[in-house]
Amino acid sequence: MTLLAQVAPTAGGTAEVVVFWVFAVIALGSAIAVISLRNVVHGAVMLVLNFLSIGGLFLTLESAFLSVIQVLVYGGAIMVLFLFVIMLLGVDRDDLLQADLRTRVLAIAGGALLAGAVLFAFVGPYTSEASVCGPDAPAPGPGEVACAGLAEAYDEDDGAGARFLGRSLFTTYTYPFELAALLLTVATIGAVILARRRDLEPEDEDLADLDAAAADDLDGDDLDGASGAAAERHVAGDGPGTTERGG
Amino acid sequence: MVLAQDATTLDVPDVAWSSFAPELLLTAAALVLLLVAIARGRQLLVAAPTGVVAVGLGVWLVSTDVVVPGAVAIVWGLALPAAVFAFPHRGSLVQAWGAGVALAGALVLTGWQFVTVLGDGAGGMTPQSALAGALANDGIAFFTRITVYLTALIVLPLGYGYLRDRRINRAEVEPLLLLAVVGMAALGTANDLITLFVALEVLSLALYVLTGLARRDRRSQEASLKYFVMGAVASAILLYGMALMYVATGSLSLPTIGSVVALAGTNQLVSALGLALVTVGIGFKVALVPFHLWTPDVYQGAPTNITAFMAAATKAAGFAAVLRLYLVAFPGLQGLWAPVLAVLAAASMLYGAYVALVQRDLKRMLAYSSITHAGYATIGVVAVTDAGLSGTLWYLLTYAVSTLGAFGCVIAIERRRRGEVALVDLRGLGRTSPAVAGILALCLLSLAGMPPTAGFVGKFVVFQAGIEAGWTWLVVIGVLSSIVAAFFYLRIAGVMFLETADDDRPLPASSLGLTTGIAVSATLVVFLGVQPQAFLHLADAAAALVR
Repeated sequence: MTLLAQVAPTAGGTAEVVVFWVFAVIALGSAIAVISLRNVVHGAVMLVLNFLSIGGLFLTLESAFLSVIQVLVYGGAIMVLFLFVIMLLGVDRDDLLQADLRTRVLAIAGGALLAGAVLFAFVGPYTSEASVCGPDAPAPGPGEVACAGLAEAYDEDDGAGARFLGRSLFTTYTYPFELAALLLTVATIGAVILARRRDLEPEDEDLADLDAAAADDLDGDDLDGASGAAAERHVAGDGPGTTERGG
Repeated sequence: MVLAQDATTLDVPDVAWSSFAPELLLTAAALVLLLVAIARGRQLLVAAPTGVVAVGLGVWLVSTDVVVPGAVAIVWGLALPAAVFAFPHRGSLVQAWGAGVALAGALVLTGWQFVTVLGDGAGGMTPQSALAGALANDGIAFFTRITVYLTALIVLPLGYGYLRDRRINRAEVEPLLLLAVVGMAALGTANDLITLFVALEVLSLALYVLTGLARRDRRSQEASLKYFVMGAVASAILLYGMALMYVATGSLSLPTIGSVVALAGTNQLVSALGLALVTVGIGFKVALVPFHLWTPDVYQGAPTNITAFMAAATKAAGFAAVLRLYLVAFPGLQGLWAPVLAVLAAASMLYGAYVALVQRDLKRMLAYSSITHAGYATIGVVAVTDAGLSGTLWYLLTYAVSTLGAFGCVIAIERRRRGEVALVDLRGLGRTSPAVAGILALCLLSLAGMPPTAGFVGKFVVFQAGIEAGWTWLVVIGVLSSIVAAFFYLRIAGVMFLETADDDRPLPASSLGLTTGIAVSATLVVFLGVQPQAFLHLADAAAALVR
């Protein structure tokens, strides 16, 4: 809290402070609402609000690209996934919200630990008067990387990051970028294969002959099931039984 | 708002198309074959225009003096409509032929790359870096491409009849196989961490789906899920390790990491941590003990032709990444990783051989054997010499052809068994089907490392490199595990030729594709064992890397 409030006045005017406080209050309020609302869907919607206001906070820090990504990825894609899961499990399942004492204690301890770690990591070095990232920060000594190059990167980039990212993607990282497109293609094909109820079998004429041949055969169409083979083996009396070696 | 601001000029990178021409061809072929599959009944409507475009592109390439890629494009552009025309109601044959011609074209293009770019005219290699350093065209890339394309080319006919018999010959199989091959070749050429990771994911994702192809077979489904979950965890660990490497060195490019990582002032703790996590992640992909837990179940559950492909090609691609990571990016930390990898190799060789001894299922036994062979291949890596590097590349090729032949015979036997093949099912096979039994015995001898097969030369080269680099204890363990392994390989041969079966019917006649695939693998096993000089010379030259 204080760290952003401290930075804001030096970076801009009063409007920025107002915007910051508005988003900060919405972010905290919606975060509390997420864990206190009884209706799971309401909680999810509050989480969207939280993501949006965090995106707004990124905007006040002049990080337009991160802000857009926050809204698109978290507010869009990830929340849709959450809602899918909620809908699949059933909206009226309020036993999802029941937590026994042990879970509560664990959750509170985990939350406290995370908050402590964040405060410990950021409040000290980044918020004090002699902050390593503040306007009067001393130049980092040898071996120190804190905030090095940040100002130069901002100057070069209009403070948005999008230009630098785009430039990198289309020059240095063209090849992995195109490979990533291929990765999405593979994922799509795979999803279609796994989700299709009826398989897209090639229209082969000889599959009909195969069916006729299979009908005379030992276990017919049951090629995929091991049951036929196992039964046959059992009759034969040699029952080998795969030796399982723990993986 | 930011994007619309002044249009400063962008230095358009110089795209060296030739450096990834084989992958380009395979990607295009995969996407076109997918379209052909979708256009059920009207396949010529897709194939004919594509053929025209491909032939036009080829003619243009030839007219600009890029003769070989042009010729490949023309051949493929003619082959696809021809296949559609020749097999009007045999969709899967069109797919298989389209993919096969594309893979053969990729092999030709790899040879063309060697002649025009990579080779120095005297049989040596001049490594070349392309696409802003994302891709390295060097010995590892060349050998990985050869092994992976050859494997896929043999797997296509091996699997064609098998997939049809099991009624899982879906139209998407060949495109997915081609895309997995592209991922593997890209992994073999990747020279920065991002490319390496994305390529690894391309091949892994395709293999997860191919493993679960048999949807009515619970074991295939279990294998797919297991592979996916454990693979995702391993990928996450690998990615975290890569992030730490970036933190420590400030670079994603492997050669840059290699030059920075050993400097004083680089955070050694973070580098070591990143190295450890990368080792875990990549150890999973190549199935080194103790990261092998997925291997037996996945190899056993997956359709057999996919298992053969995984064993031969994934191992080659995974070890390409291992070689590049450890020899290009981390040679400065050799004192840190070489002993660890040596222990992993020793554990893999001993554990794989010991557990394979008690297996009754042939596919499961071959899975444990693949773990053992990952150990042998690692000997060449820990040697950290040029001889070790070329030894590992060569070993992977010999392992690929041997294991392809062995799995091909398993497919042939599965035609009778209709399910898993246990050791007892092999009784009397030497009498009823001497050809299949003989070739299976030959391939197993090669896996055991007996002369005059390819496996013997492979083991010999790797062990020699290990001894020269001072890893005598590791090589001793390798020889010991070879002796144990030879016992169970020979036991299979004994079961086939010395015992008699209740069921003395010969195996059902295998399809033309299966026969071809098995015959080609067996020929290569013998040829690489008897006449290895040409390839060994290439492997020696392959030690030239982009550093």
